[in-house]
Amino acid sequence: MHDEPQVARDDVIKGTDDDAIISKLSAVNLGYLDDPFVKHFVKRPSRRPPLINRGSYLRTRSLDTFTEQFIKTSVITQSASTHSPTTTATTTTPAAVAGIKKQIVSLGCGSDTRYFKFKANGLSVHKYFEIDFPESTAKKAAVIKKNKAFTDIIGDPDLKLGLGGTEIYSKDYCLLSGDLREFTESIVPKLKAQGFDTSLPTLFLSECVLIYIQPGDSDAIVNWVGTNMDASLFVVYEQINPADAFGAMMLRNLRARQIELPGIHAYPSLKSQEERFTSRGWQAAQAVNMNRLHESLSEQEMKRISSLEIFDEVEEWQLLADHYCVAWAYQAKPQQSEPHRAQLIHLLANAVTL
Amino acid sequence: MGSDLDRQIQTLLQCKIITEAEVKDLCLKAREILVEESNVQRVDAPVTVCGDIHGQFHDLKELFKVGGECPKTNYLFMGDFVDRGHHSVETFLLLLALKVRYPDRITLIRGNHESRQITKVYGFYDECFQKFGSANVWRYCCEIFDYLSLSAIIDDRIFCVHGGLSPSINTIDQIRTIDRMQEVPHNGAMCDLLWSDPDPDSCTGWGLSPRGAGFLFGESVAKPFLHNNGLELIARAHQLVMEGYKLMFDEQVVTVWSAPNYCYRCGNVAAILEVDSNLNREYTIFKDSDRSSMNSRMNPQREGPPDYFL
Repeated sequence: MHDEPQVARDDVIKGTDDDAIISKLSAVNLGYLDDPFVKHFVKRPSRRPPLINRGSYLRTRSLDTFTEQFIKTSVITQSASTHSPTTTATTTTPAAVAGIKKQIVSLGCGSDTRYFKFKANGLSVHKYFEIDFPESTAKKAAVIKKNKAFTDIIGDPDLKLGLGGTEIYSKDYCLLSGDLREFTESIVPKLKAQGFDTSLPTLFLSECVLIYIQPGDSDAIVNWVGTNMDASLFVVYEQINPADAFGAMMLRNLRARQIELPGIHAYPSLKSQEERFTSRGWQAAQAVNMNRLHESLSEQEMKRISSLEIFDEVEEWQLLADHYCVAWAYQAKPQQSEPHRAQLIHLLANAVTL
Repeated sequence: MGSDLDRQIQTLLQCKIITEAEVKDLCLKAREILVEESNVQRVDAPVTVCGDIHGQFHDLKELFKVGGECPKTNYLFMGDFVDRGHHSVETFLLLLALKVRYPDRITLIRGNHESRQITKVYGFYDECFQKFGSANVWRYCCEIFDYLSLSAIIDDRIFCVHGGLSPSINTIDQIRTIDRMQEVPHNGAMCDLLWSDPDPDSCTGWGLSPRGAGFLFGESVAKPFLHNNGLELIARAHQLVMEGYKLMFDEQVVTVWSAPNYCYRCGNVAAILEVDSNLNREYTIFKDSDRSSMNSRMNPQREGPPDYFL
């Protein structure tokens, strides 16, 4: 049980999803993002400032890119005599993907629509799990259940709601309620009860989620995934650099809204974000700030988003973008046969190619 | 007449709005003064040069505390009075009222935010609508924006402009010939003066601006411009500088930024540039007023919280 102030803090954290989804809808409405599902989660849309639109776009696009690459990439072993038996090649053709089952776990999913957006475009995985506080999943489940646009995408006549309407179970999509601070004790058993398979390559997504919980609790999640999954990819999007002038002001302003970021001091830099994984036995980790991701946009895409609205916040954008990062890490268990492990590593590495 | 205006100034100094009719009248008077000003307004030293304010009213009062009250101190504001902050209306009207009251003690030149198009995106339009219940005040102000001078020159030696240089401009005289009474165009000399930025990394002189308007200009164009026009310094604003001001190109270009803790979020300090009668230059740094930061934090519902990605 948590004490009263903790409950109040939790409510504030749940409220951050409303803020994020309004920002995302603003970016959708202006043409930065294409997502017909977001609008169902926003009661009062509002237009956000251009730099917030650009940031929301970039954050969503970055995680979408990794997700799409994770879904699409596959590995085939070439048996041609000119190649050694362990030579691998990657392909992104759907036919080759069919063979490999994968899972996605979205931690603290809030109103995220990624499952629906991707499946609407013909991209799906064996199982897609979403986890959040029961208050959040109840709202989400209600929206999903009453909108044909959502249930059509899930496409399972046996779709069921559970735990007082806070959970959804279907063939490839499960919305589960729980507290990420009790990941190993309570979330893992729930996942397993819904067919979660630790032997499948699995993508774990955390969009501004781990930063809100105590480092001990978020470390437990990273540890569990690294220890128990045969092959996993972890992608984190969150704030960094709390110590400089902008960062200190960010913490003060968020605190005035009762939002604390307990994780930011444990992982305050790109390097420490990488070490969060490498120190726990993950094979590879990389963290980049949002400026780097911004620069990695193609000239054509940059031109497209520049044409959507005036953008006169260049220096401020650079400051803001310097305080958000995307970090990713992957690992595959050594007990597997070496060629198989090499293939899995290859697959995971492909998913996070910038 | 003077007493009405003085009363309005007192009201505005308390961060309270004046009536729509008073705004209309104030703008008419301001127009008579501004229409007489040159595109390159001559200013005599000593003068205190200020950068972007962006509706941060309480910080503007802090600026006056640090730099001295107008008319005691002679001021030159290099544009971007409005947008982003919570009090663009009070900020611009106060500066405009001071201009009408003390035309020779305060010079206002145009920034890229003094534009119909930009104020519709960045807050001034919405704020006018919210505070007056119609867009009339916004319209009166935008008409005045069109009359604002494009640049100033202090004692023939210091060129002051909001953004920077333009590839279409080689001499100060060319600026004088621009027909400025219009909305800021999307390109051309007038646009560039309000939108360009110096680029310390430029090797080629001119570069594309990430802002989508104006240009990046390098040392290799700034220095000849100064030399050919008999100038010693370009003072400009337009870019947030965490330290309040930034010297470039062997101290021949300076950015002055006068909005501390910009957008109640950036944590930066602000600066003003005090130029004495011998053209000696001194920079004074100031921080955001307690009131400014407290208001934005304590009244997020009323004033809108600073935005982050959550």
